Amino acid sequence: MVVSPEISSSTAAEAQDVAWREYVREDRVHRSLYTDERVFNEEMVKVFGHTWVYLAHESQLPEPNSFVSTKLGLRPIIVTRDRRGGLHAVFNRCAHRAATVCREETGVAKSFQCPYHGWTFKNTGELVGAPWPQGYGPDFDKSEFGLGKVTRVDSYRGFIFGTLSEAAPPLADYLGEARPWLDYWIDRAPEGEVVVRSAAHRMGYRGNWKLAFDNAGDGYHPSFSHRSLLEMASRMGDSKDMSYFGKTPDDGPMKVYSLGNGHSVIDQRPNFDGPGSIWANQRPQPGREKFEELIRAKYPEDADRLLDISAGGQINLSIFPNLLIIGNQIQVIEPLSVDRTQLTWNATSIGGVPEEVNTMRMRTQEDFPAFGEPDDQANFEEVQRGLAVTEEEWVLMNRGLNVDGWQTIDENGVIVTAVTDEIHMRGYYEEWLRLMNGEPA
Amino acid sequence: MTTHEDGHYADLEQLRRENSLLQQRIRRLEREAASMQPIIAEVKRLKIWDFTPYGVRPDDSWLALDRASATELMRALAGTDHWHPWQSRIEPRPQP
Repeated sequence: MVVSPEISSSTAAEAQDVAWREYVREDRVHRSLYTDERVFNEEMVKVFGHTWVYLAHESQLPEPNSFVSTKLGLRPIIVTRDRRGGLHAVFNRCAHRAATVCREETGVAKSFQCPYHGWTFKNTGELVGAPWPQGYGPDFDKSEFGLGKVTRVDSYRGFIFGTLSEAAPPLADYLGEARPWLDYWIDRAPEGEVVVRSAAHRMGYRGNWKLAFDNAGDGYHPSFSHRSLLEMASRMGDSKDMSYFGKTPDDGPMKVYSLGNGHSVIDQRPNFDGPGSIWANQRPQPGREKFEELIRAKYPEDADRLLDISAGGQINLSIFPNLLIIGNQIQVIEPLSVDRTQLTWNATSIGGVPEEVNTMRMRTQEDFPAFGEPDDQANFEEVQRGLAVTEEEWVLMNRGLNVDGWQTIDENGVIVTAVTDEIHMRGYYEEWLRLMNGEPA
Repeated sequence: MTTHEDGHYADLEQLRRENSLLQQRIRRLEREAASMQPIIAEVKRLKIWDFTPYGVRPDDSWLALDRASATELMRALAGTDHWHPWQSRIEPRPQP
């Protein structure tokens, strides 16, 4: 039976009454979640507002009064450090006539002066003053006209998140079972120090933001979507990075974990055994052999470990709604409109390693982010095109559902299953549904 | 012949002395230029805020600067560096 849950509400307030459950079934979701502008507008308020959203990394704010311009959904915001080092996030919107007060990407500033009429605000949001204040009369109360604030800002080991919801659980609880995976990724740095570097890869695609999230935990697509990469790896010999996706992945050692709160992870590490194995299975790259020779000559006792941490972490961690940890990169999903999205790949270096290791880590930007991501983005655009068929209403996410022997639950309540199980989609749509319905965590 | 060769040697010796002096001078100028770089970098970072239109008294995190001196400072700074012009990175505006 085909159900046609056309969204009839025309305002955000009316849309709240829509039974979102009609759009998110156990095994499928309705196409309008990817195509309807009203759904998108609701998401920007409820998903990118009422739960913890990744904003920036602390290494991007290295000193007192540092700032980074970013967004919370569609809201332009400025993440700042005050002069004592405390973290804040304020709306980049002048209290006077709404112009952005900061148009720089990053920098150091203890105050922001709106370029339009000169209203000036502290980096914690308070209004310092408006030019020629006598024009506002004697009752002008500056305390009423500060920049709006992202009311809750918290950092987990350098990853800064923000939410406008007072009801959201503490950040550490929201990350929940994703924390040990994030810890693993951070602790690949010997001293736990991760530094986001400049020169991010920014790529825009003509598709809905959730298409990137659908794909991030998807172990089903690589054999087909990344066929050119796999074939190249095959020409260079078997067992190069990701070529294992070309075998029968459901019988292999890789697993996907549904971590709760919309988070999931693909663990590729069981494909590798012993020190040096990750490095040995990386794809060819110009200069790679020379680099390995250098590391082995300079650090003969420690070469395998150093080579392994030059390559990616071999996990694909998706933290709902906008943070993806892939390889050595921190990838951020930035919705622009219902059918426009920007993905940013931030390269990272780490402390406590020889500089050569970080050079190679930076060069991983030349690998999957430059080489594989275009495959994915081409698919996102083609899905968005396909979704224009109004007569076909549903997008399936039923792979692995009720398949005997695939899913097990570990002692922490995490569901572990075959790597092509679409449980990552079913998991995050549950969280999406909760947020869109305004239900408590 | 001998006189001609002596003349060559004398020229060569003079060129070597000049070369040595010029190298010393270059090293001194490089040291001087290097010592000025942090000052220029800090001046580029200087936050100058004209508080007068706001009718407020700046708090104790601000220090007053003579307006004419500040204007001269900015004028001097504007001519310091043509290779790395005074600029900031503008927030990207995605338009895919």
